[in-house]
Amino acid sequence: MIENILIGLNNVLSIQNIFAIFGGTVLGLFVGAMPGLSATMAIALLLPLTFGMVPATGISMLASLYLAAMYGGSIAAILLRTPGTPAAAATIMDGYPLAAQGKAGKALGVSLVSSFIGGTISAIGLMTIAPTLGMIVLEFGPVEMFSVAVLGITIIASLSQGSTIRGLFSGGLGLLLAMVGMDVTTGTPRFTYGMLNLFEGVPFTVALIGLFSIPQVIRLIQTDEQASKVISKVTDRMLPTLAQFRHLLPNIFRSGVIGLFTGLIPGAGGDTACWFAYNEAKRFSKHKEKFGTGFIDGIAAPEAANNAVVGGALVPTIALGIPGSSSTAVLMGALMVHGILPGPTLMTEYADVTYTLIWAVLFANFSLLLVGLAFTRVSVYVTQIPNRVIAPIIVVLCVIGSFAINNSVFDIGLMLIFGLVGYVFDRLRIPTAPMVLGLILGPLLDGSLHQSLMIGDGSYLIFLKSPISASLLTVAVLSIIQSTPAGFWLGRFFRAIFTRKRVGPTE
Amino acid sequence: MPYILVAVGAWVLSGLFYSTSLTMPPAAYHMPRILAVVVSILAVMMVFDVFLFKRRNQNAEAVDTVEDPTAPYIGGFFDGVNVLRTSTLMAMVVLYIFLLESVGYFIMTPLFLIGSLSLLRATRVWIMVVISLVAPMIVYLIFVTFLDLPMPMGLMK
Repeated sequence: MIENILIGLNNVLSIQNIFAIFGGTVLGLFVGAMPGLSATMAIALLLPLTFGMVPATGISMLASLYLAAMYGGSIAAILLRTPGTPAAAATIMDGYPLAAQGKAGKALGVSLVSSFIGGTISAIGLMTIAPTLGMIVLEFGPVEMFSVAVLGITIIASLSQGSTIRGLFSGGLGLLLAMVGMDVTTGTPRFTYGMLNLFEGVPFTVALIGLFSIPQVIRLIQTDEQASKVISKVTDRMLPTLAQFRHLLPNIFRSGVIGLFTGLIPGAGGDTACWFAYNEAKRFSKHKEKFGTGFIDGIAAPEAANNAVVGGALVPTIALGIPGSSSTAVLMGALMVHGILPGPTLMTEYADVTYTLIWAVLFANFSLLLVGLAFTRVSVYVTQIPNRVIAPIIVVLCVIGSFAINNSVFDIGLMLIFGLVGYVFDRLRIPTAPMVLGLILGPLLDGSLHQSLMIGDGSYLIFLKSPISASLLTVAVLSIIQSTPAGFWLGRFFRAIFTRKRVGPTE
Repeated sequence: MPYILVAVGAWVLSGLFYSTSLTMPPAAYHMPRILAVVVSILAVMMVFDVFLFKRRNQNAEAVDTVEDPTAPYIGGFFDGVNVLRTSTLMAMVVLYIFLLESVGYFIMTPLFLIGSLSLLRATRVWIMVVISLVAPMIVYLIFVTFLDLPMPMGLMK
């Protein structure tokens, strides 16, 4: 393991990787700063760019982009009272009031430093937890991997935005679409209906670009440009003073840990972590009344947490092949584009790429601090680009990116179809993240089911014979039940039994 | 209604996949058949879930589902959507995609950009012209010059 860690460190320190990390950070900062553009969309759009790079470089760039977009989101939140990304929603509470007092620089500086520390905590967490978890997963066979994939889909479906049923429906549809293409075991073309372009399956990169970008384009053109340029200049000092820093440190650490552990739960992303950390910061504070009035603690907490989510969300992605968020699902797609399959091989066969990614997350934080100090004032101007200028440019990037994947116009059409499906789902509050996960995990689920059935002589009971598999499937079933009305009724039933036992039959 | 349409779409897709799988060897049809059945059931459950939600809230004066992202969307599908603007832009996108390969990137992209920016009245005319000319060049530089990725050149091949 130490050898792999050193190989990863050596890789990340190569000139092209350092450039990729800086490039990704700058892009992430600007994309995050634009209200309405999400980190996931940016990663999906830039995914085709990594085709021309070696895997480690491409993944490092995308991971840096993801991390920087989390901080970038706070720029719009602080200056425009509109979160650049959903993960920056809680930053508005104190960031905007502080900026309105003429201290926009201070607000952004606190956000940057907190993001840096939160991100560093999560990178260290990632470096320690992922390899350990990865070693355990090495013991997993096809039976256990099938259950891991089922668990991944059910957890992300039950925790993602929208009801569990809609989440599961979206995930199921993704899995069904993942069945299109040549069956690896029998060599039978499945559901291709004579279309040669589908023989290799639905290209999930194309699906990702469509699902995450086209709905965004449609959203961007809906509203007439509002005069939301609330604060357009940053004139004051950015970095907090040493006294302020010392005051913020415990809060940042606590929020960083909250973000790391929230990220570990698949489906719970930066948007959950930022509010969780904000509420905890308020609960622990001696000046609760100051929250919401431009108090720096209210900026530090969500910003440390949302950046800490990045490393946390990468843990299940790397170790288990279950992405912790839609952004990490796209990152996992990027790995697969380079022929790297999620699962146990990430820590063995592709350990060099995996450890480079882990180191890249750590280095991206330092890059973020430097880039943030240098470019935050410039990025203020990015927030003023009209949405209607951005929308057509996103369309061009979607079209060219989809074409670049297989040099095929068919893929562009497919991207548009997925985009329209994504828009309909978005309107109806059917989450798209489970569908993406279904498309990614489909082949793994299919392959492991086939292998498991061969091991079990065609019996589905094989999944219950393995204790690990049985436990994982039980957790999957429980995760579905707890988020349905049945979970509520069962909870009430057990609470009633428990209370009756405690009170006693004579009461 | 929109949920019913989505569910019908899912049933059609699942039915098509299931019937196609009837001619496949067992190893190839196991997973698709399971998934086709599961998706069909989930589609029914989704419609039922929305129906129950609507029934629970039918007496309420105004159901603010916007505030609760977990609630199903029960407003009109096109409420708040500028249908004319959106459909015109989408038609332009389809035309752009359709002509991209034959006409080529360097002609179609500036045309699409100037057309769509004008449609959206995005900014001043001269800025729209500059964007329409400069943006395709930057994209070309990144995709082709730096990363050696393919680009449909059409007439300029």
